[in-house]
Amino acid sequence: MSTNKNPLLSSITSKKKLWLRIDNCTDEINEPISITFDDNDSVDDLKEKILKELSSTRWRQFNDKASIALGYYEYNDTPTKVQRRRTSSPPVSQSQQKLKFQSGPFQSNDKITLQQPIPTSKSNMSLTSNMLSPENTETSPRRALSTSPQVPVSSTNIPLLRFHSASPSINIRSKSQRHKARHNHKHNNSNNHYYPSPTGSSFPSSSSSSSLSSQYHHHTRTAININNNDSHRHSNPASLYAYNHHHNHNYTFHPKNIHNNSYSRPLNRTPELQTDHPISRVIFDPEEKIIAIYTELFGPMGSQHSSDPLFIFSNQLENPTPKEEEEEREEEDLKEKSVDTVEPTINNNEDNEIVYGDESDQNSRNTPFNDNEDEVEQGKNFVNIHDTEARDYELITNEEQLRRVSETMVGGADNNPDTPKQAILLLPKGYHSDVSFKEKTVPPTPTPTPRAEVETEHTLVSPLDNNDTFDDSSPIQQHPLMEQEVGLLHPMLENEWRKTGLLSPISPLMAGSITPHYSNSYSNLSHDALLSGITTTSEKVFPKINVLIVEDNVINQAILGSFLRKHKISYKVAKNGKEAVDIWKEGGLHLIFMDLQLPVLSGIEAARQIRAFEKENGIGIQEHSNSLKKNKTKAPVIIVALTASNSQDDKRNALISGCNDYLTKPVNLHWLSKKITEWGCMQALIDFDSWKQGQSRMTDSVIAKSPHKINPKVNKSTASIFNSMDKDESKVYSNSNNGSNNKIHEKHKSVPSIIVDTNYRE
Amino acid sequence: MSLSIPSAVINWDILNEIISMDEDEPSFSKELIIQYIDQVDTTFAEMEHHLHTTKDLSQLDSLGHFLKGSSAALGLQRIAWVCERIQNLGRKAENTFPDQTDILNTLPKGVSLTEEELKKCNGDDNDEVTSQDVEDGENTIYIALISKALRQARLEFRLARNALSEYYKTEL
Repeated sequence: MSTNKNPLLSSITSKKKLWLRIDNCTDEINEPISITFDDNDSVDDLKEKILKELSSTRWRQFNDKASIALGYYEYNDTPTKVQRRRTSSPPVSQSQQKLKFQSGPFQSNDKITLQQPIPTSKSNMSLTSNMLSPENTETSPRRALSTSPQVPVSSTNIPLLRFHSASPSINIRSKSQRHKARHNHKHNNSNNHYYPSPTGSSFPSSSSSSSLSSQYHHHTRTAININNNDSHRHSNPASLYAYNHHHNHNYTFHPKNIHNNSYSRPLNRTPELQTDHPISRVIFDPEEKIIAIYTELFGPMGSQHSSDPLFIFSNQLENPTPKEEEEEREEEDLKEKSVDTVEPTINNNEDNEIVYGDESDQNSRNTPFNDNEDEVEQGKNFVNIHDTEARDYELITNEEQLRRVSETMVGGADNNPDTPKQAILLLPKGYHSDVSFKEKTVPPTPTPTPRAEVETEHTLVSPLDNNDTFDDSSPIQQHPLMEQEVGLLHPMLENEWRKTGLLSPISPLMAGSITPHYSNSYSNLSHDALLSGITTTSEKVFPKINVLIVEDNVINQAILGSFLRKHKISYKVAKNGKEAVDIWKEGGLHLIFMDLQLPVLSGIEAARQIRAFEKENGIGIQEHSNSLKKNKTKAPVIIVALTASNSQDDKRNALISGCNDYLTKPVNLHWLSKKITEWGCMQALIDFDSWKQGQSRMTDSVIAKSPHKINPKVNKSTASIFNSMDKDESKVYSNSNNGSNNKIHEKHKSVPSIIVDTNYRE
Repeated sequence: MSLSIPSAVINWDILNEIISMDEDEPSFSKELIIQYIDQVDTTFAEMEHHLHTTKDLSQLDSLGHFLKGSSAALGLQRIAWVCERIQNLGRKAENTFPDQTDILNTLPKGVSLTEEELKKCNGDDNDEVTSQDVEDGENTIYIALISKALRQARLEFRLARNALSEYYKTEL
């Protein structure tokens, strides 16, 4: 679903357009898209266009402006490497810095084909991310990923990996980082609690349920990225660290105009440090003019072909799992090949990156490049993981070492602006890679293939929260995103973001607001809000809906009621079909659990009557919405029948009578919660306004994680909400309907505790 | 008819779900059980009443259904099973009910009732006698079977109470 735009449509026009493809896209279809741009458009502008263009895609759901970056892959191929990867591509000049675009390559199973060397000088690409970014998002189908060394990494990666994959662009050049950093910034500023906190996988620190985390992945990433802002370059190590992991080197192009790279600090380029990395991601600075990028990379307008799109690097990750294995296999292959063909070219300085993993906490995120001691991570232990092996990175776990390293980096780097910089990659606490660090290290081979590098990247782990060492023994910990869970949280969180206005990824505000203190805000955010948010399990998150239990047996009422109270779902109880219909008429109900065999009026009959009333009153039909009571739920109520164990007749009759679904009794609470989630979410979507009213209450309780027991107070509050929602109608109702039923209802409202009704046999 | 009655007195998978709600509402499950016991006593009396006076099968059907619901919800599956028999007998959907010994034989090892308890459940009123008035109508056979089932239900109820009392370490 990601980007299915037909490239052909736009390709021919004379307008200025840019071909883009989403990198590392997991969707099957991922064709390049073309986006038109104006002369004045910057990379950021282009990103907005991209997002707009892809607004209907699933990819878009996982990405916002902050989470994507534009760039391309640069192949620093030495001839040998080229061979390694793919024989077909003409050997690029040896200088690492030559850029090539890989457009088609990803898609094709062939090893990466390098296309269009970038005109820019070998030294730093003059282009900053801005240039390229404006329009394009690069998408490379997963397939592509698998084929290209770098890509595999990302694809293989779990959220964390993703992270990397997404981040890779950020890597070496500070600018690229900064690009991301900004986004992060925005996020930080918002301090949005709802913002996905790093999930456990991505951020080890959070115990979070994996499911939640997955959704938030991109968010976490972004947050991390924030640190990278150039402006703040001192402060944000974390993102850098993360990026460093990717051995892929991302170079940002600094357009000539933009030369003020405060961000990019040259990393030390000791020969050791730099290995050759055949492929680097080059990310454009957000401020860069697209037109400039285009010219730089492709030449005159119209020179770019859809076959060599720029890439949109995003955080999106879906379950990469299945493909991992493939990739790994490929990696293996590559390794072998590489061993044969590659000579120890280890010396290429630029490729090597030092990774500082901070194991302690937020602090670690602050320091990467910076000279600033303040920002230096605290309490990290420095560990050089690969003593004997080619050093693709170093792991820093304490402050002292970090400082040392950063100083070195700073000292050496500035001199040569053109060369790619080393970066510090901050790893989140409790970071777990899918590969254990020690076990999978880069093969002794002098120049590991890109894939191999990738693998090592994965292995880096620095848990932020604990001083824990990596979990060497820990097997792959992947937390693929569960669709279901996504559905669960998504509406809420999104909604909350919008509501609070904290997060509007696309909004200009975010772009503009870069706070120097982001690091603090970030840490606060992550620890207080994000983590807590993440740690909540999906089980505890239920849509805020009003439920009616129709059940004649007090025992079952009590059980269902207790379950709903436990999950802070407001509910009413009716003990026969007639009561059910009457209560339904009061309005405000989203979901009815209807026992079928009931005294007075059976559940079947009650369902039938309710549907008849709905039809009569135009509920669920927009045109008629005025005709009835205003407060009434305009969407038809969902009726879930509670059927006797195996009675097919019951089930059939229930559905015929207008029930939407059924549960068999005795009701399995697990299934009950599923139904509530399923139907409740649906109702929340359908009837957003009324659902929204209860939203804050619910999320508060969830996020506050206050495990307060359900006590009368809580119940009262829910009851009051309930009452407020339909007070008008309930008045009407109570006036019009006399009788015991109403009394019972009132009782339920005010005292939601278990209703012990000894008159069950009425 | 084959004895499809579950062997275990309590399905702990189900009951544990309820017990787990004690976290939020302390002693929720226990109070619920006590409430259930009251409900069973009431319902049995009601059944007894219908068996001896109105002989209204549909009432017995609903009572059986009613008690089945709560019994099953609590994981008291054997009682639920018997209640289902009563329900079906009330609907004339079945026309047999297994003998007491056969049913008791399905109990897991170590679970049994004392003579005294057996006697008490079977005891006071000898429902067998009611089968005298067979001529009263075709319903009589069902009434008799339901009476038999009701005795079994009492036995099962006793078994369940014993098990629950053991669990809660209180005499329930």
